[in-house]
Amino acid sequence: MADIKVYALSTCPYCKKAKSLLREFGVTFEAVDVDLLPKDEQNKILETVGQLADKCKPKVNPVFPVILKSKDIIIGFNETRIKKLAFMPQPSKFFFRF
Amino acid sequence: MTPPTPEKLFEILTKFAHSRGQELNNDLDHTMSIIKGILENEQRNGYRGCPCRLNSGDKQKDRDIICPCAYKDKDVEEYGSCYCGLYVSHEWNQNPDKRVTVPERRPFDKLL
Repeated sequence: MADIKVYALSTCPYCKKAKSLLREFGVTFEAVDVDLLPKDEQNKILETVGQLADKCKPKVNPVFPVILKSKDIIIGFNETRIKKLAFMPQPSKFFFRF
Repeated sequence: MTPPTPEKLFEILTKFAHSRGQELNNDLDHTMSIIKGILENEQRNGYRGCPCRLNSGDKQKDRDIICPCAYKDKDVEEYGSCYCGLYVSHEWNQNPDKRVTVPERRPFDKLL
């Protein structure tokens, strides 16, 4: 399963730039074009995006694209942060007990 | 009424922008992508909703984001560019290194 998820709009150039950046970095991701979904699915995603935006410091208005990688969230297009997120190591699944 | 081609709409919006003392973004790829997105939303929903915002499909509910959106002039005045980067100031076009991401003015609850 891809470790990055992108909520996007099929009509938005910033969403297209975010996806092409991730491709350029050779990162696997799952993209969801929210504007192409049925209404009830759109509302579910809007609720998720709204909650994610509330967690951001400072709080931001939820906009697209929204990029998720485990606990990291990028709301809106930000090339520098997308690059950082793309090359951030996936949290290790191995726990060392001493 | 058949919708205009992206190229025709580009001409129309260029004149409109100049009439308001503004310009269209001189990154032609971006501008044409925006214009195609506007025409895509018009085809889908019957109105030219902003391509960078989720359109509800309800024209009355989305009247504030029908392009040019209700937030455009304030955004261009404050940030040199509208939210989606279509309408910009002359200074904005001339100074790529001074560009900032325009925050969303539209209240989130308008989407729900």
